[in-house]
Amino acid sequence: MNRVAFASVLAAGLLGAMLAAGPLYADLLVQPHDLIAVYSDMTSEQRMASVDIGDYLLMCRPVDDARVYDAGSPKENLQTFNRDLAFGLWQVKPNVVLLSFSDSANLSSVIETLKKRGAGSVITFPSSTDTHLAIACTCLKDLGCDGAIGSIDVDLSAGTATSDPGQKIVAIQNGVVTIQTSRYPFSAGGEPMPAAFNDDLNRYTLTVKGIASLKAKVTWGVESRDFSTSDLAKGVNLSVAFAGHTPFDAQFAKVRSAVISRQKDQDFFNDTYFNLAIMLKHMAGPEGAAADKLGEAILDHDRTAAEAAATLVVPISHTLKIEAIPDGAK
Amino acid sequence: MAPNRFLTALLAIAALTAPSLLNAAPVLKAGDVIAVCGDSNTQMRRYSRFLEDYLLMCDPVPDLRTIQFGSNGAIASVLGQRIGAIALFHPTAATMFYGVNDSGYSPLDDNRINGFRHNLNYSIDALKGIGVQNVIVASPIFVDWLAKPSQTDMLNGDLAVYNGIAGDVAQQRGLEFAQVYMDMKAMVGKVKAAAGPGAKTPWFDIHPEQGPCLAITHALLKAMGFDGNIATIDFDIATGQAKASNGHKVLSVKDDAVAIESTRYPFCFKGDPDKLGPDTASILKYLPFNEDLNRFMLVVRGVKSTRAKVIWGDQSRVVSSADLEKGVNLAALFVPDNPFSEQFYKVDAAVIEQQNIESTLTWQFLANLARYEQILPGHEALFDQITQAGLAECGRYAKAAAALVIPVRHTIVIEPIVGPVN
Repeated sequence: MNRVAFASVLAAGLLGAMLAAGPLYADLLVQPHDLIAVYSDMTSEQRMASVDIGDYLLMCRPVDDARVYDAGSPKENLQTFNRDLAFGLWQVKPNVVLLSFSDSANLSSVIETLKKRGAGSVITFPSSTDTHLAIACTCLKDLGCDGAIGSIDVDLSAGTATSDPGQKIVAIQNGVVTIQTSRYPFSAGGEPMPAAFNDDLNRYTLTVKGIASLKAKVTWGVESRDFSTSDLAKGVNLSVAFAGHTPFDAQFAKVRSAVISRQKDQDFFNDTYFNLAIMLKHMAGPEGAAADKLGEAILDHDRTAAEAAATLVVPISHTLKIEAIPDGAK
Repeated sequence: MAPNRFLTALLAIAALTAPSLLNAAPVLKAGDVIAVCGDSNTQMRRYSRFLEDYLLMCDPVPDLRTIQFGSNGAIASVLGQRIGAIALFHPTAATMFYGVNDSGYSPLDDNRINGFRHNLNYSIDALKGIGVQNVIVASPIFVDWLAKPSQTDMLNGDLAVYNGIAGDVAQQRGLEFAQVYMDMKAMVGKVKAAAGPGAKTPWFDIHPEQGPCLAITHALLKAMGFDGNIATIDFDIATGQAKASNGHKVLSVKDDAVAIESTRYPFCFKGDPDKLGPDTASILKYLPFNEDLNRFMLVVRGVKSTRAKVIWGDQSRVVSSADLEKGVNLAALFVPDNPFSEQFYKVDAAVIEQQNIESTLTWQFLANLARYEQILPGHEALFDQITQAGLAECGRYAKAAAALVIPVRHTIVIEPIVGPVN
């Protein structure tokens, strides 16, 4: 994809702070408490991509208290963007901006304006006809997401299992591994996932050694799949193999529903607030303050809605049962 | 059951006998507040702007206030549902312009037919309930250009039925009826006859451009009873006498020139009257706007030649003396530029700003107030503060627009032409 990424990382001091924040965020442009604003002309796919990004940063690559804010509108363009910026839009105060408009004239001046107003990173992505997942994939990679969601290593012969820090091995007994997970693989609810998304951003990998046969059956939750032992030894991506049937899907859908509900409110405010704010701020007297108060109330509501969505991201306990399939068995 | 031709014909007869054709007395009075209500074609602020222009400048009604209540996607019941927001402006008159969204862009069934009638009545009741005395019911547009051309006939068929229903409801309720559909249909017919088969007319789409929107304004003003007499300047060159109708004052007569001060402007147009296009001037050959509503007449007697050059401001036209004696319409003759154009468009620009502000308040905020209250409970005092501030701001913009309607001084010079004209 012919994309132009303008990623600007803050000065060396901030970079140091980023590194000090711990390995979880080391490669990410998104830091704890960041607000990531998506400003675009909001095709329906772009709107859904914004939900995908919100889902991902809540569940798959969670960053403490980071929020995605949909700040575009269907009629948004760079001209109205510049107008709105001066009055209402900037109340969102984003640290990271994902920017996409079909009309790219004056884009560089907009990026400059955003940076002057404090956006640490401004990333442009093309206004495309791609699916929302493809758009989200581009944006999440630009944000520095590496796609390593989970990694579970099982040694059946030794009866041991290890994992990355986002997973906790609760028990292993007779080939059944019980895990508690705070990072979910991305779930598209049965919608086909672009291969690039799964490969680059959604690797929930199971590696198994010590299987005394050529094939094995892996049961995850209530679903089973057969794998070759050699594939299991190299590692298989469970989010692909069990797409649409993972133990995370139900909770993922609940969180996504909350994210969508929050986006609907954001869209409503985007459609109705900014021109009103412009009108009020043009008036002498206390009306400008009223616009600010309403803006604050909107953002308070959004923060509360974001917190409510985040509380739904609870650790999920799940089991992986690995059974050798006797050689020669059908 | 699909609507049949008999129903359409019956309703068309009802539309033709609706009150607007029978009542020529103006329905508006001094101090009226007129709510201009409708769907996205109202919210786009084209015909509503022309309407306010006319009411401010051409046939001004003292202290009249026009308020814009367009709402994208609205069907006829939306007006009634949002009557609380409209009531804040204390309207005494209203126009209703719905139907396109009511059609669902699909063949009508009984539910949609009865629903449109029901919803019109529901919203009329709501307007009456807040004290609106005069309601003008408009029929929907006629279209000639849709993204899916095959749907044009189907949609126009729907809108023909709604034209009949709107006229029928107006008649039953004793209200004025604006025949937008029939006027636009006639206009499109003339355009297509002139432009030839297959000519593209993309400005007659679901959101008509400014020229076609003038037909909506035309129908509404006729329904309001305006007679179109903007001015009559009667100039007798032989005696050096000139007189003018109300709204115009003869300041002086010197030789072949008469100086006038006017408080009533002709409606002004933009674009090329000889070239079909989206502008207001482009539509004048196909819409009797000047004939019906914009007669700024000059009568000249005693011209001592068969033809004369009429100089008005910095423009001139050659007219036969016989026509001058019968009277010529300067508003039609001097398109697009005349001595009023500059001030007309200053007022027009202020009207646009006013309606933009009104739209922000009414469509974006007041119409959504219930949802604001639902999402952000506990902020009622803030919402009230914003509402009151918005109402005050709309009032200031309206006053600013009206204040720009100042007397315009202009001079008409008649030069007899002897010999060929260069």
